[in-house]
Amino acid sequence: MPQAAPQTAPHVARYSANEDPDAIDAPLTPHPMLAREDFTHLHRTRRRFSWSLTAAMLLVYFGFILTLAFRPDLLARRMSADQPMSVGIPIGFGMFAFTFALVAIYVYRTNTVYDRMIADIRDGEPS
Amino acid sequence: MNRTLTFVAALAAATPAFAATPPVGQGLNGIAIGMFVVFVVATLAITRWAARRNNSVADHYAAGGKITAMQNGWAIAGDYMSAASLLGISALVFTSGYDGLIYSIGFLASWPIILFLIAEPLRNLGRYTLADVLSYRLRQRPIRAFSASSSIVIVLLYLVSQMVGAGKLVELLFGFNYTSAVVLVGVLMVIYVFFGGMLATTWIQIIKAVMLLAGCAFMACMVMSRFGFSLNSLFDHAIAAHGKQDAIMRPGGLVSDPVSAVSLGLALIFGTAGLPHILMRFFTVSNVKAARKSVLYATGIVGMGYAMIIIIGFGTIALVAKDPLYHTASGAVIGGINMVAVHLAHAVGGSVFLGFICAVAFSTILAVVAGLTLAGSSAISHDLYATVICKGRASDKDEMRVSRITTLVLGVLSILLGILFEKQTIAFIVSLTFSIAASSNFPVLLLSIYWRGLTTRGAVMGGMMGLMTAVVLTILSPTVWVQVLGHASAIYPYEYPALFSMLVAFAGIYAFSVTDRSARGVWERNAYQNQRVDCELGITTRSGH
Repeated sequence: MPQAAPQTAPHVARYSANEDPDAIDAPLTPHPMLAREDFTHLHRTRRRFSWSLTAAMLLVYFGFILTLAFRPDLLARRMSADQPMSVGIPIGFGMFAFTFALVAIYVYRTNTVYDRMIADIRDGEPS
Repeated sequence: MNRTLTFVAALAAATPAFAATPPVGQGLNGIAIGMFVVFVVATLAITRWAARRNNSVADHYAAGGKITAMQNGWAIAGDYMSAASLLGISALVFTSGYDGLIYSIGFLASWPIILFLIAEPLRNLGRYTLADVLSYRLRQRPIRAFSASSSIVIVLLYLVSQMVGAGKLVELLFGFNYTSAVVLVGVLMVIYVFFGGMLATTWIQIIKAVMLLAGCAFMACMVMSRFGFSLNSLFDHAIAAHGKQDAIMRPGGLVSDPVSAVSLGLALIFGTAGLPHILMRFFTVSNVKAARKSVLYATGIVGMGYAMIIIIGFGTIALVAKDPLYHTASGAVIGGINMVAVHLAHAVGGSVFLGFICAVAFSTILAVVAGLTLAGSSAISHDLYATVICKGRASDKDEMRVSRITTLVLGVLSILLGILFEKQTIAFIVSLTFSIAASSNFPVLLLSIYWRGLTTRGAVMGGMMGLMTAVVLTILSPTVWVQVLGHASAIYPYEYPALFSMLVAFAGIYAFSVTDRSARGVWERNAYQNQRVDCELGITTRSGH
């Protein structure tokens, strides 16, 4: 979905780096979006999605690190008696796959679901 | 601990070059130098082409936002995989097997965190540097001064580690002397950045990343073909060739104590999200969707790269460890263990491929230092000069001029530091860089996006406290206090500071923010509401641009 350069919105002009950075800022006007339910819904669901995936990554990663620290023997076990490969090898390569899969899930869902919601919100924006 | 050091030394590509001899045989230098000259000529041609398109501040810092998602994905991978990734991780596998896998997992795991939490808000709120994002609601001058300082510290430390590594590597591979190698790297990186800006830097990263990945793919395939494309057969041969026998298939002593393990994990997974030259890459694409897709490509490329490097590592055990051709008379690996991947290149691809890998290793360092220099010079010219000193009244032309002067200064500085640190143990520098990034830039950036309560006072104080803690704990750690400074025992008993320095940073930011009762602090908390909108939808107007 091409994200066309949106139209002007005067309330953000005061953040411009070209102004005197130490000037006392004018009173804030709440962004009109904040009053719209479709925006707050998008914001809430997106943040929940991002933090859930982050939690999943951190849990799996630190689960792996703590297993290394406390129970390395779990990873040292052989896959089978006649193979040199330890359980840790597929788990290690599995970590690569898991990391990439999480990234792919995020990109797929954001491209299909959230980008559409954003486009819909923009379409409804008074210009 | 010895292994830890070995690895970190390798990370910095600080090859313990006890002999300035080429790894194998005669005539090697000719092929390696020839390929390297081809690379340099090609990159200079690109710089010339890019220089004609490098006309404004937006071009110089962000290639005018015209890089595509795929190109940026390769460039991010190029920024992230230094020669140390190939040489360092394969050397770590060579010495301790499985432990090499642990590091590469941590390096890759940082990408989802950047994508889920940082990349899109950064692209939506910022223009060229991470300070653009921070100053959305924090006071411009103090927050830019803080962010520029921490970024410069990170860039300089990283530059020193790369320069020393480059000097040693070139001394070993090409037979130049150390000083001229460091000067050569410094001069080339200044030319790339000074004339070509972000456009040239990006294309140099892309070319280097493609070369690195192609080289790794070839080596990994050749290794697998020697063992009938069976991992078990490769592992059997590696176990038979390695002094530690089947211990190489298990986690070793690398992360034995929980505090060091968690500390290292934190630095790896959050450090990347605070590296200025990585964050800067998100401003080179045209929109947030391209930024998102470029992380997908980068994660795929880096993940494949690391997987192949692990295979290469086990290949070095199976094919190099027992081969007298690659050992000195006393049984040590020629050029030190960081050279095992280079020897493997010879073992599987002959002297032409060896020359190719040597050229790849050096061009990799060149590309990484160019990216670092650009990030450092933009922190000075965009944050310090244009905003803090000129209070936002600098013209584009002035800002560009200052950026170029800074590039020159950084070039001279890194050459001098590279020469100064030649004989120093710089092994700890890369882990220090990641720890500082995880304890200063990262907490401030994260909280500025996700915590309403953040104020300028909290960000500056907490960020500085995190930075100082990381530096002080590293100095007091066994690596520096005992091994470099020669004291009997370390004051801080763990190898990595990140667990404590990140705690200090977050606690400091929290404490100094909630106690900030200034009118400005109230305004900053209130401005969070509007920031949430722009964070999601993008800043809808950019006055003057």
